[in-house]
Amino acid sequence: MEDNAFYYYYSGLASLELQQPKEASYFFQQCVKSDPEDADAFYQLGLVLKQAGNESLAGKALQKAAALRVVHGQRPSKEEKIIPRIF
Amino acid sequence: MNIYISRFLSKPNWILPGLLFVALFIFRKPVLTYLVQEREKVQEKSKAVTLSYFLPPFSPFASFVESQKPLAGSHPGQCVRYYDKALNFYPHLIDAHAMLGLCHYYNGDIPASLLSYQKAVASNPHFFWNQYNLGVLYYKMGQYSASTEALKQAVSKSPEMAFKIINVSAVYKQIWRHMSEVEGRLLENFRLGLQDAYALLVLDQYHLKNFF
Repeated sequence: MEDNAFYYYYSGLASLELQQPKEASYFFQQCVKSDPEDADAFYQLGLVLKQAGNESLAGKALQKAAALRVVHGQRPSKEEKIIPRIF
Repeated sequence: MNIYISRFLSKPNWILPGLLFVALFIFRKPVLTYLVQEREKVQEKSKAVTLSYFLPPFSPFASFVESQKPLAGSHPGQCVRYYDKALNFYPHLIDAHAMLGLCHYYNGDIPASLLSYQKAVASNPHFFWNQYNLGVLYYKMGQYSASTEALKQAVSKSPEMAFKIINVSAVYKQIWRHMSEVEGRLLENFRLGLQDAYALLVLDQYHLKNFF
């Protein structure tokens, strides 16, 4: 499930780059469904919702992101986890 | 007759060195072959003895393969010296380039690590892990196009070839003989490596802003 979250997260970021906030919101929502512990995804979802004018949901998402940061600290990202291996 | 003998004995004796020279000339081939072989034997022995002084413990590598926890402490530095020396003595040990690359990486020398992995790929381009590690290194250095190329190569490699290479390699044997369960672990690691290769390909495209 966490691996799906990774792909949703980067699809969300790519949608933001392409100025497609609706798609971005969808991908970040799928991401937090796949990995409810992903503070970065909640943070991005909060920002997207805030931009869309959905203040109450944005506030909740941002609060959740902050709470997860406090609980888990800075989790290593997928790219940090990828390291050279022997075999 | 006695005069000749006494004359011969009174003059500087050139017969013996002369005979020795003639004998050496006649038997030059076997003598030279023997000398060269002896020299090579001594050299090989001294190489093995020298290398044994640098021999690191291989169990940390085995646990690294089994747990994927990063290598730490002085072990990578010790291994850099070992694999460097091993390649110096035995340049045909192509898998030692990959091990040297790994040790350089955990020793904090990323450019040296990249160089070693480039050599590993040049020596054995059919091995999944060489291409994968090169892709990871390029990614870590921000060279996303090069990383994409290497990772595309990696995902095209077969697991069977990877297992074959690991099984026959003298360098990898030093590691997998310390592992409790080899076959299942190799298969699982290949699956994880493939997964990470695809994830890195996505990340490469994200950084290159290739969204379509």
